[in-house]
Amino acid sequence: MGNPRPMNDKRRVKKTDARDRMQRTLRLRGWLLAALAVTISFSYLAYRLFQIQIVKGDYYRQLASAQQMKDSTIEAERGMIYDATGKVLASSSIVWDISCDPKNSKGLSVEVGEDTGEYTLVEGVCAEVSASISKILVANDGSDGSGVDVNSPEYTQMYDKVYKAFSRIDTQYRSLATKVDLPVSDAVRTFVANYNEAHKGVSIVISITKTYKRNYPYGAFAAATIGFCNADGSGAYGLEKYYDAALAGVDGRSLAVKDANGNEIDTNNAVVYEPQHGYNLVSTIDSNVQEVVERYLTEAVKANNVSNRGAALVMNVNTGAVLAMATKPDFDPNDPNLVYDPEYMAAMVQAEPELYQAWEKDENGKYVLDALGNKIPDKDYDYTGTYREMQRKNKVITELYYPGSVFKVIVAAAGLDSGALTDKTTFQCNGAHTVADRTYHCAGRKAHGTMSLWDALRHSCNLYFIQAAERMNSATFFNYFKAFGFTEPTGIDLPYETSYMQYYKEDQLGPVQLASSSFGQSMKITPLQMCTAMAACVNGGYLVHPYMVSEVTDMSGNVISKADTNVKRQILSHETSELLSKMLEYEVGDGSKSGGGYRAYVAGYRVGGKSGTSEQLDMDKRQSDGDYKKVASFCAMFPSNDPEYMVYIMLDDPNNASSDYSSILAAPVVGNIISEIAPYLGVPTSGEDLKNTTVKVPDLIGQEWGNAQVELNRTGLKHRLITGENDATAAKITHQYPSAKTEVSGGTTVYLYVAGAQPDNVTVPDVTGRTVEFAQQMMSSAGLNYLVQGDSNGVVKEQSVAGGTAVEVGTVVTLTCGPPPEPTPEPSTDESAEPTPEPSE
Amino acid sequence: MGHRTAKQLNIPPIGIKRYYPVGFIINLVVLVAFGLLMLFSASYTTGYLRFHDSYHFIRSQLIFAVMGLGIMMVVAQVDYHIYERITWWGYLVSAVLLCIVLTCEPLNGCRRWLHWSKGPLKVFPSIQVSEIVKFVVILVTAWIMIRYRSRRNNWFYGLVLPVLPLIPIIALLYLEPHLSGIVLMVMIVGSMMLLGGNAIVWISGFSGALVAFVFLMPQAFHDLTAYAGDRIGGWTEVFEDMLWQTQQSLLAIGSGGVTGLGLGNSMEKQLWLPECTNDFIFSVLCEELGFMGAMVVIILFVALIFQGIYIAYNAADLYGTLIALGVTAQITWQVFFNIAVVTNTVPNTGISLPFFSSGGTSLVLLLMEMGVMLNIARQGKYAQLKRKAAKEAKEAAQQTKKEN
Repeated sequence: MGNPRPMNDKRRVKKTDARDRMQRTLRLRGWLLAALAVTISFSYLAYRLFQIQIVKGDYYRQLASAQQMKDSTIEAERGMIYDATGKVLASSSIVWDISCDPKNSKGLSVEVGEDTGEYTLVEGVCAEVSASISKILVANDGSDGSGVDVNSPEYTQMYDKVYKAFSRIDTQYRSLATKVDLPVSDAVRTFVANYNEAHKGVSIVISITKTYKRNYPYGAFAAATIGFCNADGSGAYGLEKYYDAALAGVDGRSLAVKDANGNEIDTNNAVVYEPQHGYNLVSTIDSNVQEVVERYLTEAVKANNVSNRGAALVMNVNTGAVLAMATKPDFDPNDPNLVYDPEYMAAMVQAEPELYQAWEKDENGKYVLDALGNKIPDKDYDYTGTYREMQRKNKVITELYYPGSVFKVIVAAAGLDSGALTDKTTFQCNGAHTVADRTYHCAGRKAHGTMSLWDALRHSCNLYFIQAAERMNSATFFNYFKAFGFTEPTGIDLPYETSYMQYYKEDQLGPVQLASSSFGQSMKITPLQMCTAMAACVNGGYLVHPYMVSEVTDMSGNVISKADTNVKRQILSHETSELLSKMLEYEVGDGSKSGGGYRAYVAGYRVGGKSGTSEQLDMDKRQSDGDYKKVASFCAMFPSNDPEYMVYIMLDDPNNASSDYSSILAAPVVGNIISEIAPYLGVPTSGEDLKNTTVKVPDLIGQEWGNAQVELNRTGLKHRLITGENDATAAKITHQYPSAKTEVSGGTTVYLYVAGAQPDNVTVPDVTGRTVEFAQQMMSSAGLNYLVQGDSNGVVKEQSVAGGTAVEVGTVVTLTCGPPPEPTPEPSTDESAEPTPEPSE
Repeated sequence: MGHRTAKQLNIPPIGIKRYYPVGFIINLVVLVAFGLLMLFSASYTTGYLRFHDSYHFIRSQLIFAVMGLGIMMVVAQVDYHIYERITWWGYLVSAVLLCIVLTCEPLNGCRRWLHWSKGPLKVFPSIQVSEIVKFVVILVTAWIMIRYRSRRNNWFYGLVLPVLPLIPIIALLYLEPHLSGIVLMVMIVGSMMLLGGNAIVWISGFSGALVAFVFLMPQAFHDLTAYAGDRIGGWTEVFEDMLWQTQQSLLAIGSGGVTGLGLGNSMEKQLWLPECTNDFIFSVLCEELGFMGAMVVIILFVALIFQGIYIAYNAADLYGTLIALGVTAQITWQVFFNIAVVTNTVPNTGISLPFFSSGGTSLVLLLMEMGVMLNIARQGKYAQLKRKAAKEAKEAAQQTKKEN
């Protein structure tokens, strides 16, 4: 104590009791220490809070909202694709993806020891849950899957997948199944809920989210044209790809806050941007036409052993609208990864190993050679990926070919339009023509003699067109070649149209090149280019822009955009075009065997066309006869007095033992297609009333049904093929009705039986007293032919086979008609109007 | 002169209703009410998601609060000197309970709770033994400091002896493990010795050692227990490297800003912030009520602590002073450590916030201790008045003498 105190004070201190002294000491030290310490330390905490909340508040707030914000996508529904008649070609349905959250699933894992932070899988629970879920998924019908065979490979595969997913206890998201239907996802949901309920301490976390699945109701139908979607739902090929942006729509978003488990917290602050659903496409494809085309194309590919697929196109020549576009064989867009016809695809690779690099290699990557030093095709290599690519390709727009004789029409058009030729211009064909160092021949080394353009086209004389091209000179030739659009893609609304056409440019067109070009053997173009050029030849001379989609509409059907005929340019004069139409009709002829393309003729319609058999000069020769591989194509248009529709077909590398000629291989296909689609499309007939003609039914037994139908097309009879259970490919007719040599009226349907089909009997309806029109309908729908005699505007007075009689399908019933009866008094009208009298009571 | 009775001094004796520290009680009740409100806000999501009952936490906490306040009012009537007599019985019972608790099934990896989840007694709430032990440790320390008061500057009697009974307790707590309990008890005993005037030189050295201990803990405990090592080893100022809990706590506090998101609007309590009903309830408070709300709570606690110190220094005797000091020290250290942990000022140690964190034993024991504080305050006030009256009487007598 520095401050001296008075004595009496000191004494008093000594006298004070212990408590007072203690308290004084404490006051001194205690208050100072405690108050100071408390104040300082709590001030420091306040400072910390100030730092965190105010100085760095924004930083933490941003981090917090980044963490708490749940930004989820609301998938837009993909638009539909309709055909021209309103049928659905592609649609989307709601399906469900199932995933699990192993990390947050209680009871699925246990901690190793205490507080180690390491967890290990509870195998029992994992196995139990995986087994039950796998059963549900394998059953795939919404049942609990108790009937599933646990030894089946499907089950073991599924079980392995599900078990693996659940065993990843360090992850929060593992997919269990994608795109399952509602009953299946409900079954899984119910199972998990029950399981969690029944097992204390177990809480398996799964999540089921809505998504869309693309459906193609017709399967492998116009597949390369419609295309397909990737697993993520985006368009991968065809219209799906080209119109992906329009179809896909715009995904919506939902911004909400979530808890640490990722569950949305119900607040009013959620921001939802609704998805804009995709637009619908109305395609120009007419599925009825497409069906006919695919049916005959498939038959032709199979019957003629076509190695490199066939392609077909039906187009409106005036508008460019495509009614049918097919490549066969193709694939099922519902499962585009499945190799649809592996044998066929394998044969394709083996047929052209150079193209697919399918040569066998040794371990050093060197080719294995046989004794003669040739490379050996590799049979063991896995070409699945290659097959997939091949089967998806749209042959009409992605593959090039030598157009062959069909191209002669273009040369004729160029010659006529440029004035180098007239239809009367004659050239000499003596079987051989030498240009520079090369000598050209006609097919079969024929000498056609002197002929005009009409006959040159009809006989497809190579030498005529070589001379015509020579007269035209290469500049004119190339100008027209370019004008017809062969040097540019057609611009159709489909993806992956090739633009790598091969041709000689103007300065490269020497005499030899020009000569080879004149009959379609030096340029490689796409079938679609050939078709648009051919369309220009017959539609008045206009090169039109081909298109597949006529309308884009929104979900409520409002038209967003509409395709219109888009003429790129006029190439030919109307006169030239008309003349060409006539020449093409002359080529097909009138069904007699005089025309080169007579097999494409359908009696009652005016059909024009040109066949083309080209040699694939740039490919390996075929092994069977060492000749070049061929492409058989045929391009027809009808009605040829005012062409409206074009039917094009090409068979790439047919291997028909009897013939290579497209007039034999391709023309019948075109004829059969026209025979079915012309009435459907309501194409004007030739004006000749077939019903008034009487035809003898030809003997068709033993013929291939395709050719048999051609016979009927030519003679003005209709055909109806009845197939049995056997393979109907190139099957021979076993039975026909009406039988051969029966005299029937034109338009009578002849029933053809193949592949083990047996004729059926039908009951003849009683049509007496009915109008003729009604009687005809009754007969047709019963599968009977009819012959109307007498007044066709009246009523049926008599029928040759009485009503109720069982007869063979196709039987001709003669209906004798007369004027309708005079109106009778009311009571009797009621009775007579009743076709079948009420059974008397 | 002989002592006069209160009656003679004209001061009414301590009855049920007299000499309550009104400010302290109001402060306390406001804190308890605030605590219950915050707990309800912080716990209803967790309660719903974990127990399918939004009221799971608040219901039991409310019952314990009512029970605790009742106990407090009863204890406020009990002369605190009675604890001096039962100190060692209490110590024995504590030791036994700490042994028993080690045989119990661990909850969250620790054996801290006496619980009956499997037996027929499962309707009874579990008891966190260390909360009881804290009070017993205060009693034991006070007992020793009073007994060896005269030799308090001797290093053995002043420093070693008061710490000796703590050693078995620490050993048992270490086995639970309950490191935060150990830290807290060491801090309480140290505070009592420091402020009680024990061997000041020795205490300084002890404090130095303590500081060293705190700073060496990360290394020291890293290998000893993975549990504390995880918590302490993760202490960093770099946000990305922090423990999840600390990150979430900072996000919660930072999100609050000045005025907060509003009561009930915490986002972090949506399962983001673990232990948001317990050790990290202050983070939720900061998020919902902002810097302002946090300051109000800190000021309320500081006011309570200052009043506690006031009660201690105005106690009727040294024993009362020491007990009040111990209880105030407990609250001070708990509040300080809790807020320091949630603000990432010190490593994560897991100390609950008095009157706020959910936990029945803690709340009841704290309120019981508040009852003891009330009794000390009442007796102190009474003694103060008595002394004042005696002084006045003496002065009056002296005045009379002078005048005479």
